[in-house]
Amino acid sequence: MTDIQRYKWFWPWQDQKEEAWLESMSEAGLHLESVHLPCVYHFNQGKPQRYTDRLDYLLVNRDQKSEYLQIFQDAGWEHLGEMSNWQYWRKQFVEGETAEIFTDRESKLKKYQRMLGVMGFFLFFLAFLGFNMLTNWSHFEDVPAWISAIYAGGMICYAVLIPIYIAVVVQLLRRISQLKKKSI
Amino acid sequence: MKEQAEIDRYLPLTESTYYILLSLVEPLHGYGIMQKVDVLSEGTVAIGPGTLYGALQVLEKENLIVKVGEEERRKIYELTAKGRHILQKQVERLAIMVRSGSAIR
Repeated sequence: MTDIQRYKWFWPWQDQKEEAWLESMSEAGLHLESVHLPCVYHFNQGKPQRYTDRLDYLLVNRDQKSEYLQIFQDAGWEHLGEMSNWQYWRKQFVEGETAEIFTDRESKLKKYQRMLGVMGFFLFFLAFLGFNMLTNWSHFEDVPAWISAIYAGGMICYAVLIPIYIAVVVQLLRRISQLKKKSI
Repeated sequence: MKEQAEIDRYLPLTESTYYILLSLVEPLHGYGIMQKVDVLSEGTVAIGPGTLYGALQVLEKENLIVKVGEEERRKIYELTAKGRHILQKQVERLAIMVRSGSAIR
C-alpha cells in the first residue's frame, strides 16, 4: 500500500468530473486514501475495483455531523475524508444498482446552493475589502514607496481573485438554473 | 384561513418527502426510514443518504417531525401532530387525483 500522490485541480462546479476521475482511478487500481489540501490526492495502490464515488458539500456543526456520517454509513457508504466542507464518499459498485447520495432534484440543487452561499459570501467580502483598499489608496499623498508597493500587491491580488470568484458564482448559478429547469 | 396558508406552504409534497413523512408514523432512525420508504413505495422511490439527511433537517425545523430518542449516534424521529395533519391533507389530495385518473389506468 504505497502512498501515491496526484495533483489535480477541480472547480467547485466540477464535482461530477471529480467523481468520474476518482472512479476511473479506482478502475486502474488506485484508491483514494485521503485529501488534505486542495489539489493533493493521496492514493493507495491496490487491485482494480469498480466503485461509485460521490462528493457532498456540507455545512453542519459537529453534533449534526455525527448523525450525517451515521446515515451515510448505514446506507453502505464509506467516508474517505473531507477537505474544506467537501465530503468524499465511496460505495461498492453493484451491477444493476445506481447508487446516489442525492435521489431527487431538490436536494441536488440545495448542494449547489450551499456552495453558492459560501462563494458568494467570499466574493462580497473580497469586493468589500478591495473597494476599501482602493478608496484608501487614492487618498494617499506622501507615502513611502514600500507602503505603496504593499498596496499595489494587495490590489493585484484582488484584481485576480475577484474575477475568479465571479466566474465561480456564475458557473454555480448556471448549474443551479440547469437543475431548476423542469420541462413541464 | 391560517390553516390553508400552512397547507399551501407545504403541499404538494415531493415524492421523497411524502414517503419520509409516511414512514415516520412510527418512530424510526435514518437508515430505517430509507428501508421503509422502499417498502411503502413498492420499490418506486429510493432515498439517498444526502437527500434523507437534508429532508430530516428541514422537516425537524418546520416541526413536522420531532426527535424522540437516540441510539448510538442514530437519531430517532417521529411525526408531530402538525406533520400528521399535513400528511393527511396530502393523502386526501392524492386520493382525488387517483379517483379522477382512474379511467386512464
